[in-house]
Amino acid sequence: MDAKTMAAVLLIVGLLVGFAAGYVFAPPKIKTQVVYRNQTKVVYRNQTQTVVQVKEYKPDIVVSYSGATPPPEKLVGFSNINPAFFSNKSVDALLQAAKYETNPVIREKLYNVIQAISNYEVPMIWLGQAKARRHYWSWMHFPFFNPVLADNQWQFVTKDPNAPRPNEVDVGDIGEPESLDPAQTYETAGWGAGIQLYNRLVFYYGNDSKNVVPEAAYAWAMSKDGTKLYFAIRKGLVFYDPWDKKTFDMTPEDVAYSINRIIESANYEKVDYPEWIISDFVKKAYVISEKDMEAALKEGLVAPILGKEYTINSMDQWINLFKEKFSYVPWHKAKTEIAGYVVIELKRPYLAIMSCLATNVGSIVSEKAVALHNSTKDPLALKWYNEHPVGTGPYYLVSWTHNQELVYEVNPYYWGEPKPTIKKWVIKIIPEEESRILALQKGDLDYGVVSPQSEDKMEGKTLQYNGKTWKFLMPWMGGTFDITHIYLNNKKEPFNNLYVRQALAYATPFEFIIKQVYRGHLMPVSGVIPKGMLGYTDNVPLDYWKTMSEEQRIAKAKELLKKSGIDPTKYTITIIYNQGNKPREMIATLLQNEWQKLGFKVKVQTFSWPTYLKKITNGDYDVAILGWAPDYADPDDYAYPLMQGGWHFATVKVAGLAVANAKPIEMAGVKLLVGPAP
Amino acid sequence: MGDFKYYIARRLLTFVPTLLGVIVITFIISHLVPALPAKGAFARHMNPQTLALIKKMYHLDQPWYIQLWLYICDLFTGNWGTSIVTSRPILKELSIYFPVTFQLAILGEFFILVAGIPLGIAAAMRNNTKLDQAIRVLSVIGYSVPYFLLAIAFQMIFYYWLGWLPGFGLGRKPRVVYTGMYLFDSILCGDWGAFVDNFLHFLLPSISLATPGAAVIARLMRGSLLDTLSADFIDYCRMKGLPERVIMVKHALKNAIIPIITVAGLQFGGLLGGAIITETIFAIAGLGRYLVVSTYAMDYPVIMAGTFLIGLVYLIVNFVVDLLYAYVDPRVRLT
Repeated sequence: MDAKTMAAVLLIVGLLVGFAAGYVFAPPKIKTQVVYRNQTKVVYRNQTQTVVQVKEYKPDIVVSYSGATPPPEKLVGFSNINPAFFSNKSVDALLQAAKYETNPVIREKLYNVIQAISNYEVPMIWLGQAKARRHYWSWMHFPFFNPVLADNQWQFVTKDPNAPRPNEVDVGDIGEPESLDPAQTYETAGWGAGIQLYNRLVFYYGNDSKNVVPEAAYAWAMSKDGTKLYFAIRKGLVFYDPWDKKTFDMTPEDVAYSINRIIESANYEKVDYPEWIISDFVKKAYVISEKDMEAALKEGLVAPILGKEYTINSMDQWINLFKEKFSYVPWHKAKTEIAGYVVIELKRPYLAIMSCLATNVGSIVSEKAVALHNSTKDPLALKWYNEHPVGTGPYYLVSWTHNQELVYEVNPYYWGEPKPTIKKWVIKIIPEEESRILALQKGDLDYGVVSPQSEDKMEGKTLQYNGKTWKFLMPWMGGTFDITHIYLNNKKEPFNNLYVRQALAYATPFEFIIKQVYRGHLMPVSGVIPKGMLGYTDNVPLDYWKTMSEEQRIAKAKELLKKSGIDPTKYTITIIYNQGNKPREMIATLLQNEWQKLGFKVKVQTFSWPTYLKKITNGDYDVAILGWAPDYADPDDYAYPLMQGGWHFATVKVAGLAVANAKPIEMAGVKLLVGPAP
Repeated sequence: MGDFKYYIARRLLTFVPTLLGVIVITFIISHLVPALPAKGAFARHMNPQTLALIKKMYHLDQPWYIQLWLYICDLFTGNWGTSIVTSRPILKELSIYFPVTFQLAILGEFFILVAGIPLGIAAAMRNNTKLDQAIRVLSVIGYSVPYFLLAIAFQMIFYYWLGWLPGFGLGRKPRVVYTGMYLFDSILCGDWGAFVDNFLHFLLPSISLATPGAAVIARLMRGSLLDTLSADFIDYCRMKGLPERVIMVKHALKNAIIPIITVAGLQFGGLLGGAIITETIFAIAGLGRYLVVSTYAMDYPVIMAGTFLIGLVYLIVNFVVDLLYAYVDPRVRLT
């Protein structure tokens, strides 16, 4: 062997020996410890001299909690747990964190993550959000569409003078309000009426569903710690009481009284119980003097306006800011003097409180009218105000024949702008679809409820009147915040298995349901928060809500089922829906069809509404179909009730310190860490 | 006439046990079904304390016999309970819906008799002619065609195509409302415009309600009259030389009318119970719709009050029918 070959052999042998030695003497285990920024703890070494390797995870947001109480023994859907009985400690911490976060940027990020989690965990299948469509004769003119509002604002609606009944509008509705008292109504018809009868501290204008504008309040500001809200009350609003034939000027006392009345009303028998929208967050409301208001301003307040925050230090600055920023709102210019000041104290800082005050529950009622009709047993005059609404709004109630019709007329003492042009509004209750369609076709109704199935009957209909040809219009308006869900009982097998839930979601025929059941009146949604609301994002892990072919769906579903490890043939799934609800009946049958392809046995059952509700709240079901409508326009109104699993925490801090055993969650482009505080 | 007084007294005595029986049976049935009193969107944010409060207020936490006893006491003191769904006093709600149904029933029964009796008489008198056959065929069609089909057909033809009559809703409220029956009230205060408007609105619903009933009455009248006409005493009258019309009206009709009275009474009771389908199609807020919707919502107090009302109504109607009976046929007074 010559030198070159010797060297080569030595090299190779040397390398081999080196590798072998390295292998023999290398550290047997490498312990990886994730280390976080902001942490004061230091990397430690293992006694057996293994080297600890460090991998850095840099979270955007850290959520730490302490004082966790687990869910109670007896779980009641909608009450102490979400109706799908899904329970996850980290998710609950996130929900609580997002609820009370005062920084709008962080709050949005947290809700983005919650949206992504709702998409991945799929505790209920998010079927879609409703798309609104108006149905009216072309002699009607509706300038705005706002998904937050339960009805159009009649003061902006106009009617062509050549139309039939030019000074009156006849609407065909399917049901009547349950009450006209803001403390007692919790459904669409009542809230729609409230828009015309009352004014609130803040409200919405035009098509903007994200920002509130001043109404009974001229201006507002928040204390720096977020627990006190200050309102400058507008002067010149007038209550009209047609039953006592009296008018009352609206005072700051009325405003404070209205809020306190709502909170107090929870202790009495009422038609319905919407007061939590204010009483869950508000401690009390009271009037303060101009001197106290100026003192508060001097300390410095913060005014959240149109998505931005402004610091306020003086009365003039405050009033001028609101005068300038809201000059586009017609009624804001009508009365500009200040009558006084009201403070609303919150239990905890809650950014969404402005949306709550803009709902029907925030309507201002007349303390004096209540005093005329109350009694020791009914100090809030709940029984009287139920059917005798006294408000400051553009219309007042003339008569209410139950389940037959409601008649409204223009309030002669209305303070604002624009003044309504249509003198009389009659809501006719016509529950039978056929009769309502006939009446619409004849032009005896100006607009009304047309169900998706009946739309082709009205398509292209025309009417001759006063020498003109009028058309029946059915324009698409855009997404609303009403969602339909398919609840899966997460307490029961096989729905407690994540991959089973995901498989069932993939196997759901979204495209077919949207087209055939809802006739296009539904659009897909990526998770628990609807599009158009703060927190919505498309950046979610799973794509079962996107359009794909049936084969793709079933293939993906089967793949997930295999991953889940369960045998579908061992399970019988019963899908329930409420009697008389045709769309849900169709959805249940379609789901039965598709899910059986995965190997499950599927049954469909129907129950009357009260029994249905009972079964769901008791968790006595497999799969149920229900909807969700907004109480107020904030993601907390969706995410919390629909996902919270019963865990409560004494404190939840965002951007808190060191968390032990924390869970890294990376979703929706946000890196999160959730865990118990040290 | 002493017989008559005894007869009335005897009939009145059967009222109370029958009523109590009605109450007990409805109570038992409505409490066998387990359901949650659902108030609209109440379940969305259900406060367990409020639920307990409601249970206490409606005595739903008491044993069934206590609830029954409390209920019977309330009924006879004018407190017919509060609706769980609307939280309004039931008696007040019934006083809105019942007059509407009462008017509908009166008009309906009026058309039934006005159409059915003459047609039946005509058929009987022109027995076995083309007219008789035509009336018989029309009768069969009249009571075979389902209610809703008739109602929709009338609505389509007279409201939609011809535009002669209004197709839904009640007419204008009269100036002063006394009883809630707009037709009656408008006569009382002289508001003839409201009377005509209400009458026009009630025409289609009451005619569509009346058609099956009229068909039944027509056939019954025909059969009953033919029966009576074949009796011996009619031949005797004829032999006496009485004119045909006198025989018809004075002798035959009085006998033949007896089964009609019973059936008309039952029909009226049925109409008072509320014609849910007619009320729904013509968008009239009456008793039928109220009771059916409350049953769906498991509104126990309304179900029980409604059943009690209908039971009471039937008892009174039957009582009146029996009185008429006894007036027309003296033999009955002895029973």
